[in-house]
Amino acid sequence: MRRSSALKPIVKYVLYYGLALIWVVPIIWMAVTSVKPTPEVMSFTPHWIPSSLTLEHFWALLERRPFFLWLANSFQIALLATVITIVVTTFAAYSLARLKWRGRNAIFAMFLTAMFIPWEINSIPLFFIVKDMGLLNTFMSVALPLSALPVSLFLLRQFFINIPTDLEDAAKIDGCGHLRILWHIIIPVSLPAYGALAIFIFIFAWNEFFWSLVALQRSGVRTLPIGLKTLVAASDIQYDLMMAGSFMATLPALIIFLLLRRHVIAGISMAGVRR
Amino acid sequence: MASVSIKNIRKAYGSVEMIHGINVEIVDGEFVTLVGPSGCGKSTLLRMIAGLEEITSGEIRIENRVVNDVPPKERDIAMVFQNYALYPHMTVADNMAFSLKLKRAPRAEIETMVDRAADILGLRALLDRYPRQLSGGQRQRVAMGRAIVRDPRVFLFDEPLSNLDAKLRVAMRAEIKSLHQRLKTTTIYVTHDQVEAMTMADKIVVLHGGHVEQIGAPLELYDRPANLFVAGFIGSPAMNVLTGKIEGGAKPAFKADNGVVMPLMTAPTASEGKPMAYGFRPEHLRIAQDGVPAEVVVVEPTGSETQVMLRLGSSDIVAVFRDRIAVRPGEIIKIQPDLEAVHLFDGESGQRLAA
Repeated sequence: MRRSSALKPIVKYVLYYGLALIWVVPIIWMAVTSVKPTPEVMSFTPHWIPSSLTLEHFWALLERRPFFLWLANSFQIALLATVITIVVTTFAAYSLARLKWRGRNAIFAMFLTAMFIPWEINSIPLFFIVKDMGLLNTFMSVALPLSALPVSLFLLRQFFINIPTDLEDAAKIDGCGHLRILWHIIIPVSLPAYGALAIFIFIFAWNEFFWSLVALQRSGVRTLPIGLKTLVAASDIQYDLMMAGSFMATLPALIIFLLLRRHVIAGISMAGVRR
Repeated sequence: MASVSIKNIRKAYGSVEMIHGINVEIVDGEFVTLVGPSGCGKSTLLRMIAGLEEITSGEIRIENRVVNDVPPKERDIAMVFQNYALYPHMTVADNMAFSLKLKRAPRAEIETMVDRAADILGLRALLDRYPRQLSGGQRQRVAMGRAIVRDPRVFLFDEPLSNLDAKLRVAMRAEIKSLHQRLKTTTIYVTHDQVEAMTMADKIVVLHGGHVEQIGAPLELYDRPANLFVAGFIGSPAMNVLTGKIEGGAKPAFKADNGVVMPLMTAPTASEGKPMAYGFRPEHLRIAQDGVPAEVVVVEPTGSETQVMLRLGSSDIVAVFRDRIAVRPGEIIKIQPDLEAVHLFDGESGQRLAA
């Protein structure tokens, strides 16, 4: 008994670190490769520790490709998607969580079902919708569809549902209608959920590749993932530039996550807990 | 301040009726408690008065104005909730000022009102704190402060003390009562704790299964319960009740189903042979040589009194003695109820009979 309980934390930590390693190794490899001399990038035996450090790939990328344009495009799309998601999902989630209307549960079930459909499957109908709206090759063509992800609605609705109804009743007696309850009570109380949602959508939009490739065909509106893909030619893959570009592309998302990490964890864990 | 009139109020959820036509008149400045076991409809009734629950039929008037379709904010009421319902992202001062800010009251007026409430409740030092930084008692006080600031015509309390520990509950009970004596605002207070109801109210409304069982002053309910439910619900420890029949003769007596014969002063007219319930409060028992023998089961001395559980025939009853009595479990003692304090109820309807 005593032996197994002593072993338990060891096994637990070996498992944790093992899993963490699986996630972190590709990122370390990307970071290391981005500062390696070119011969070592392509050598057959992997060089985990470079013989010398160089920033030449970064300079080469910035010189040969419009990296900052891609970065700015990605940032604008991610920001747009995040802002629209927050505004739209707030009303939808409040209505589904708190207002009583016929068909409410059926509609929510429909959204839940949509969660199981891979995002890429929507591409063809979405393409025609976006085209008919005249939005092809605009940031909105990517930001708008990303703002209607069912998972956003699910996350926020679950959080709203767990806010004690007494708070709302107290606000009603204090003089609030639904909009004021939403603005003065529900939204401020749900800031952790909003933090989680914002990060989730921002990173999702930041990394989005497939739909952006379909909707953004002009070179001036390309996002980072599409731009980096141009480094992969049919016969030649520029691994050194790609790793430098990927490393720089990862940084903003990583910084945002680290800044809001506390909120994300609180938001996700509180979404399912009755308080 | 205002009177509240509740006329034939019903509440149904779908086809299930939960409240079956309740009538209560509350006069200006009165402290009324709605008391009853869980599920009796007391909180639903309070929420209907507040406007948080729709009324299926009937009429609620606050100061002669029918408020059935008036939204909560226009009823001029304030409510204190069981779990405090303080806004967690606002400081104590902001919590209290919220309703006035919504009304766009001048800043000076808001400050005056908040300061006044803070002084009344001793919250001055806590005004800048957030609810999470307060103890349960302090939170409850802030919730009361939020209600006072509105200067409402009616205060509604929904089991406000049930989340507090026993000691704090007693202290807050006195605080709410003294607050009412000071402000003289009409108050409707929901509780399942009959001690709370007895100690605080001018008038108690006993609810059971969506019906009013009895309305009256606390001691009136205690001394003359209208039926068996009220008799069992009001008073702690509860009234002892034996079922049986009245035996006639020169000296009427009550013969319980367990075979024990209990004395009676007089028998109600035409009651002989009918099923009856015989009730007596634990403190109305005394040890008497000519009493009925009972076996001592458990002795619980509290210092100020001694509570003794007795086996009378096959029934367990409780006696409370003011004097310190030296009895041991297993001992047989003779007991006699105070005949003037014996209650008789109809065995079928449970209604009180004039004894």
